[in-house]
Amino acid sequence: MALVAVTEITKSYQRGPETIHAVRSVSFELHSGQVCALIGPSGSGKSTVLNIICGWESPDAGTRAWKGDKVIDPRTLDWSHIGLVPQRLGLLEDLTIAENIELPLVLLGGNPEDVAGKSGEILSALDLSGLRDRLPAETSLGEQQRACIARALVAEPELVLADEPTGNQDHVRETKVLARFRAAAAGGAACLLATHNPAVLERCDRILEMHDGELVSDTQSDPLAVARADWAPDRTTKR
Amino acid sequence: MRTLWLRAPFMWLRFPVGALATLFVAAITAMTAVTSTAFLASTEEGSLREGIEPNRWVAGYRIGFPNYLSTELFRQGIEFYEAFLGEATEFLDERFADLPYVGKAHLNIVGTPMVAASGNESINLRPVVRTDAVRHVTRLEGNGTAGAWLSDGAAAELGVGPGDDVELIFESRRATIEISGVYKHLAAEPPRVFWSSLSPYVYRDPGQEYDPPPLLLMDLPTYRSVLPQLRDVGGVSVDVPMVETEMSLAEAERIAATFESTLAAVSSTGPLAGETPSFLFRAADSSTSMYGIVSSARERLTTVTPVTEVLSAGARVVALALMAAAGFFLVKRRRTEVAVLAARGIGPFAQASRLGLESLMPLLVGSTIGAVGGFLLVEVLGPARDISFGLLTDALPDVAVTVGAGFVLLVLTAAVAARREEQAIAELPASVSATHWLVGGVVIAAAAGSIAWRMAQDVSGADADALEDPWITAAPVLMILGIGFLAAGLFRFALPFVARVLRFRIPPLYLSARRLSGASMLTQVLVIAGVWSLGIAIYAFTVSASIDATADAKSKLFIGSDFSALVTDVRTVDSVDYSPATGVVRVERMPLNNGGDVAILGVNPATFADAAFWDSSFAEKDLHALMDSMKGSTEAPLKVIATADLGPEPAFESPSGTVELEVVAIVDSFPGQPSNKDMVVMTRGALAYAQAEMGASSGAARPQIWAKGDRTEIEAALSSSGFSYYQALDSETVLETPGLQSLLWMLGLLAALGGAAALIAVFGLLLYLQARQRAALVSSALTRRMGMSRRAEFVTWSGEVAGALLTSLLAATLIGVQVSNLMKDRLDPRPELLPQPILVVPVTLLLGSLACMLVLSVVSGWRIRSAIDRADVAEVMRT
Repeated sequence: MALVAVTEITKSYQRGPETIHAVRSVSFELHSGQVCALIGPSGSGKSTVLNIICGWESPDAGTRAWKGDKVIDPRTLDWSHIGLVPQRLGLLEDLTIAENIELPLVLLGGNPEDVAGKSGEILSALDLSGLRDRLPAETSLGEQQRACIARALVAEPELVLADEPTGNQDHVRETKVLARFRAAAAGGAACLLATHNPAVLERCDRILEMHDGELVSDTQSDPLAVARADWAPDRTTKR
Repeated sequence: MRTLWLRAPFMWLRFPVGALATLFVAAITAMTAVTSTAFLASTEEGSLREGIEPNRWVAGYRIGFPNYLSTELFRQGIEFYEAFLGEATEFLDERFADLPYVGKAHLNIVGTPMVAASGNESINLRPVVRTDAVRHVTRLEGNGTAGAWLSDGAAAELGVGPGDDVELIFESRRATIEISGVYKHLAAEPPRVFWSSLSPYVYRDPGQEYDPPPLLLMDLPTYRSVLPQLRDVGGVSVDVPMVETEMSLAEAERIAATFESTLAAVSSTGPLAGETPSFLFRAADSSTSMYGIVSSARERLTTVTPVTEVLSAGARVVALALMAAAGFFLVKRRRTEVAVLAARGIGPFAQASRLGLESLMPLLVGSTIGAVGGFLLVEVLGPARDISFGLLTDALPDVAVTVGAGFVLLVLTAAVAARREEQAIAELPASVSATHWLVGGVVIAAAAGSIAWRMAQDVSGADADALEDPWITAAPVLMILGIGFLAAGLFRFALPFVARVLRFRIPPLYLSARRLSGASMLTQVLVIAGVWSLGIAIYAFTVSASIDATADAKSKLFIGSDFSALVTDVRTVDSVDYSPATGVVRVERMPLNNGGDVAILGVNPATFADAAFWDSSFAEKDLHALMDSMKGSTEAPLKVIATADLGPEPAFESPSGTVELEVVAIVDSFPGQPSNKDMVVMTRGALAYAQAEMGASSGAARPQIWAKGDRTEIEAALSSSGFSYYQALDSETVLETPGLQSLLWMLGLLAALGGAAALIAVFGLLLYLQARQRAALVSSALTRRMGMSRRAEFVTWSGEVAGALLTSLLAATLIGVQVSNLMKDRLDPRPELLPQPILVVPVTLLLGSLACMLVLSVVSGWRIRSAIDRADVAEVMRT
């Protein structure tokens, strides 16, 4: 059974006299253990698809289903199983980096030792340990992005939705970030990453390509190629 | 660029939050400029009203002509005498014609007591003529107001009614009049102010054994008809009442001056001047209390002015600081726009000027609202019931200057803020460190506190001193400001700890605390402003409630109960038709065997405890128990209660005799206790025994009636039962000194200003928190996706608002009440009287404020959550 299934979802916007068809009859499924890339040029509808899946927008037509159950009202869904990395990041400016990362665990009622342990581990994995007591405004954009990713992954969600998660990372840290997504998938999560970055594609099990609001291709990656990319992160690849 | 400038005055429509903030701040600035002018005018009018209202006739003008004048004029012929009567009233009407608020002249002719007879019955009565007399009695029989009217008692004795004839006999001369009507005897009703000029002829004088003869009220034609037969010209006087009680000091001074000059004019230009020798008029006596009322009002104004000006100056400083903060706020709200324009070469001053142009309309509207609001505030809360609207126009230049200064400050701070944006300095430190607030707070609080402490120790006891020293108002206000800074520092210092405690227990409130601990400087300034203004309001309310309660307790303790009066025989009190009432006997001094002397209070234990004023702080036992402990004691050793230790084996001792005493209780205070002497309380029977033994060594006894309740009701009950008393006092008036009244008014103004400023500060804080809504949308969009429920969201936003508001209220309450406790002794209206100043905390006000803030918090949290529900999150995340 698919973790997430979107069926014939359509979304349009009115901008004055013009109607913009952001998403046109897109259908696909996400399964546990997969890292999927959602690629396409700017304005192809990638972010809109992510917004629809996470409930920030409602489709004009089509359905979305969570574990086989049709999602009618996003407000009734238990969002604790979903980790989000929006393009705008959205760290709470009054909380430190560590507090931001730990927030999902705190809201879920975790105990202090468990929370400290999990956040410590992911802070270390994403090179954020030295920044734990800084406020977001006191860190770089790349550091904030990694903090946002850590926040999305710390509660071991079942579904991870990330919009351009490596846009502000250098090559080394990009590898670490992608490794965390792979680890999450290995733990059973389904990850959907909207991206332009070729390096990300190498580490994805599946590539969904959008163009002008339509899903034009849905390609399974070569598992060996993905594994090679996992084990040789410093190798520069060309497609 | 030109378009930007042309649109600027209308841009406030697009930025309503900024416009509202500017409007509010301009309102309070204008309010502070208006209130001092309006309050001083209100003080003036209120003082005058206080003096005039109790008796408009006494405040007015009265001239009494000597009897020999009337006799002389009558001797020249009745027409001559009649002409004099007419001219006497006309003279005063003409003299005062141009004076506002002065009524028409009322002629009084008070005849000599004479006999009135009908059939076999006869009584003594006194004929009286007074303009409009019958309109000011309770008419029982008869129509209209003309003719001769008899009191009901006299009519009953003579057995006559309307239409019956009565023969008047004066010496050997007789005249007959027809009775037109019967009225209720004036002494049998509550006293009417209209008759105050003739009160000696209506009410029994203190010490008189009999009531004055009833009055036969006649109009002038009726009096004229019997005058040739009786030839009793009577004593002539004319009085002129004040018909209005609220006027300006200038108007009152003009009236007083005219009154003063009138007597001198009587002999030269008065009635029949030139036709009669002026020496006949020189002995005319004139009376008016207007000059004294004006002097008292002028003195009160002089006393109140310095403090009002200090308050006003302080309030303006706060208002101008808020205007400056508004400039900073406006730039912060539009920092992106400011940054973009800066990049296009528009300098900070130009940006600030543009924002200033945008603020003009809200400034004008806010100033108008504030000026009118300040005026109405004083009209509602001030000493006078009604103040002239012209005062508002008088205050306009002051408003213009103050608001103008605020506008300049707004532009300047906006320029500074824009400059900082240009230099890409994010903002002033997002949170001025707690250390800064703590240090600032300690410095200011210590400075002001030391002054306040010194003044609190230096209790001189003159209530005028308290007002002439502006520091008496400024020091507590400064101290509250300083402690407000401290509170802000502690608030910021404590919040991270609070957040840590709440983190795993109540996550939504943890988020509230974290947001507050990282609050921007503007939020902190608004919290401090809230603490300061609320603290001032609470201080003022607490001090005025405490002074009121203290004055009330002192006066009640001084006179013994709500009402007291001297009586001829204390035994008559035991059967008086009013309850609770009691009869007491005061003796000023009784010598003791220790060489000293004490005052004595003889009481009736059966009725004393119910009628006397008592507070549980006076003694360990209650008053009923104390009375029981003295019962039955009529022989030595006499059981007594004392207000001090009388030594071992106390006794009254004099050359005449010795009376042993047994002290059954020593109390801290006792009703009726004199301020300068200890007192011994015993039963009236015991006192009679002691006086008999001590003979002339004991001081004179003064029997009194003490009663609880409203004075008007008490006097009505006593009068209707024919109970005689004199020299009545009540607890409300005995301590009403001008100084105390002025002090209470000042505190009322302080409370009103503090309350208004607190409202503005609270709304400013709410506006600012609402303005952070956009940031709330982003963070809520994500926290909802982390498992935070809508209910938890409501809790976190309500918690943030509640945290800021309730911190302000709590700090303000602690500060305000403590400073009140420190200052109340200094503001004691009569420190030589017991009891010591009482601290009364306005619990109802505080609970009401707490409830309002909780409601505001809930509503704010609901509004923010509703906005989040309605928001297009995707749009928010995109932009």
